[in-house]
Amino acid sequence: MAMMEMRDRAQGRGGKFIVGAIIIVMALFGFGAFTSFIDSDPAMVEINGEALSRNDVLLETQRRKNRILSQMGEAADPSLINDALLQSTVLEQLIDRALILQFGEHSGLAASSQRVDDLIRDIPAFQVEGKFDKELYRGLISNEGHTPVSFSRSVRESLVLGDLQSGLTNTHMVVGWETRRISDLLSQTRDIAYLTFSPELFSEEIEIGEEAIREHYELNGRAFLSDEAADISYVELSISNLMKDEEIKVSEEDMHSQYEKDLAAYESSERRRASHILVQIGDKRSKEEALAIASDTLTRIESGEVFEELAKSLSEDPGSATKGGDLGFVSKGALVPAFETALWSMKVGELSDPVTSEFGVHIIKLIDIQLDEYPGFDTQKTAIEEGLRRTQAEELFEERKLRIEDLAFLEPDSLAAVAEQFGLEILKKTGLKRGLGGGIFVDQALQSAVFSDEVIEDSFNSKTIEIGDSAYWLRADKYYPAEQKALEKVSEEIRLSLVSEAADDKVQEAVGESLELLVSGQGSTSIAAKYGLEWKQISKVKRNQADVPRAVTTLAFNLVRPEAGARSSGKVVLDSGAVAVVTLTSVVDGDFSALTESDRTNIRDQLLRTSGQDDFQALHSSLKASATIER
Amino acid sequence: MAEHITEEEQIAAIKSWWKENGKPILVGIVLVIASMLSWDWYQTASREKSEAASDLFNRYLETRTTTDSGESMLADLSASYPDSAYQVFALFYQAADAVDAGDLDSASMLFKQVIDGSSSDELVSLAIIRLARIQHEQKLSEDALLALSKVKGDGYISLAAELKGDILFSRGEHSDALAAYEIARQKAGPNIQRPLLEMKIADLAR
Repeated sequence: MAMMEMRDRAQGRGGKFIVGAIIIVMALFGFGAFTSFIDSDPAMVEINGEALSRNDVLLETQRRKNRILSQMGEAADPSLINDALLQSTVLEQLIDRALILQFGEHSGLAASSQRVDDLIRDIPAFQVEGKFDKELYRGLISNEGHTPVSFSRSVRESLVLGDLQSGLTNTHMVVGWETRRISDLLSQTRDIAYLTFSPELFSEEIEIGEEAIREHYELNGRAFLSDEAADISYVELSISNLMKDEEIKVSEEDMHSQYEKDLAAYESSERRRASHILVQIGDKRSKEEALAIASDTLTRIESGEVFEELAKSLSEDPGSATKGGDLGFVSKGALVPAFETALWSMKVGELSDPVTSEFGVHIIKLIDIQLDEYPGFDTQKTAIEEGLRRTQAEELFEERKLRIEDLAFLEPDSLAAVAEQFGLEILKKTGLKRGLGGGIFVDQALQSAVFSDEVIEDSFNSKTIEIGDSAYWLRADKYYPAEQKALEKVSEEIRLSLVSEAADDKVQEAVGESLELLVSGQGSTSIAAKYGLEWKQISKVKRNQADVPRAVTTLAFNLVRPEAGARSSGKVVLDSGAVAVVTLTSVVDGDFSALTESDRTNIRDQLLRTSGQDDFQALHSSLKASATIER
Repeated sequence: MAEHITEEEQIAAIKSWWKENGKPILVGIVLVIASMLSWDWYQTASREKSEAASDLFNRYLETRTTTDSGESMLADLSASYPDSAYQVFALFYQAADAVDAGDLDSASMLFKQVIDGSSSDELVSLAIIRLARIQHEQKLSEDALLALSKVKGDGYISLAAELKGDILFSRGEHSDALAAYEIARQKAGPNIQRPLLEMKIADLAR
């Protein structure tokens, strides 16, 4: 449409000038030049002067979101994805990618169109029976919001990134001292001891008085609410029930005519494989002459000559002649009418009489039919009846739904009229709690209808709620608001939580005191004895020691190396909620010569991987630190 | 002024103006178009050259491990595309192979070739760091420390500082080593995980 307007305006003198200018610009820069003049897609970020448009960011975010959803499979729920967070993550990744691509381009990295095409053709998702399929390819990439141009560009970029990764990461190396240095650290062992303070140690001795419980209840009463609930009456109108309604009638005749329709639709999907021999009609050959040649050919075939051989030597259709006349499988509508009529009236293996079309005279051979036999009426009968009933039931459903909607609105104080007039049963659900509920009451729409103002406050019938193939109307018979539970009902709960709070405090206190005593040089045994505990002593703990809690080893290897005869100490919270006090008395460096050959190889391989990654990461950090990024 | 000028006078005025200024304008237009075309040509030519280098590099990768033709492809790459990153990558590959084979002298020569020949700060910095790691193995740690000070870019400065820390640690200069490791951590940038560096720092912490 834009082009049309432009042409109308181009009638004027100014218009001609503009058109001239456009032609020159296009000739010099190609059509893409215009997109940079028209600022309909504003830049979100400029990375060293290169614009990253809002559209690009939104598109990539959408792609990422779709990918996440499809990975979640059945349980996919778009509301679980935080769009703003996802978008800012994608934006940062696109900036990183742009920086690295800029470096690639600057350093002369590139990928030829040949490599890009080869890669795209080799992607199995774009292949049908092992061959690249253009239609499939275009369909799949457009689902991703790509055009062929933008998709090749992104493939080209990936190849450049791959080259860079290969050149920096896969060229990693490790020399001898590096393996020794890391081995020494990794196989280092430490002599440690730890004391575990669990809250249970103190909870027995803690007394919580009635007064404290009452005080907590009064201060935090709002935390002790009963569930909001309601007793519900409701009616259901469903398509599956309506299918059994006496208003719905399906005659034998209806079923037969539906069967005919289905059959016709099925047959039109049939594909036939034909071969033909073409005798052209033209300036030098009249239709009669052509027909004569054709019937002569037909006689030769009937007298035993092979159709395919004759097609090769005689057929004037250059496309199929070399293949023995084979046209491959075709559907109805793909061929000229005369040819099609003939082909669809033949049996497999049969030859046609000469057929005249706009291309000339054909002798046709039907090679194959691709179609399974359609099941007979009796087999299909039940399914057809069901389908017809369903169609009628759907109409009835829409009609009754509107009428019930009106009635439920006009008589808002009861569902009795609705139930009576439409033969529906009034169903009950008692004590439905907000946010809980089985069956249909899991549904969010139903939940919010139950606890809506019109149902709870006004005691009216609800609006129509549609879930799947059913519609519901409901009302609340009784409403139980959320209320603060009585003190007696929650006092034990409060007592337990106060005990656990106090016990945690005692643990912190004891841990702090123990650490102070350790620093002041007091004997560790007496500290343990004070709490009736015992140190767990382990000498030569490794970094990955299995029989010591993970948090304890991590802390032990982060403690300062003690002077000879001294110890260093620290505390750490364990998974159980207990707190451990850890002391370190000695560090023994690893002995490289004591390592087995396979240990050394493992360490070397691990180093190779990390050094390759670090080298790539260093490029990225350097580029980022020196980049100008305008947001 | 223009009120009483007739049409002929107008034409005459335009003609004489054209006589005076026509030539420079035409020359200008021709120059602009010519420079646009040659810029376009230059871009296409350099892109095609990059693509050819890329194809050659990828053929080198495919055959590197299986045949002996790797050598000659590498020579081709160095001769035809001397300032391309692909040439540097190929040298990196060769150096890594040399290190694997225990031939540290050859590896050093290859890295020096990158340091002297490449115009990319990033690739030169990486080559300096890899060379310094080899030099430390060859007991040439003074040379290594000297070269490391020439590294540019935060990420590379971080790697160089870690390496400096390793060298100082091996000499028993533990507190200087710790200081170098801490610079390495600080220059690595936020959100970067370097568990081995953290392990080295924890080991020296006091």
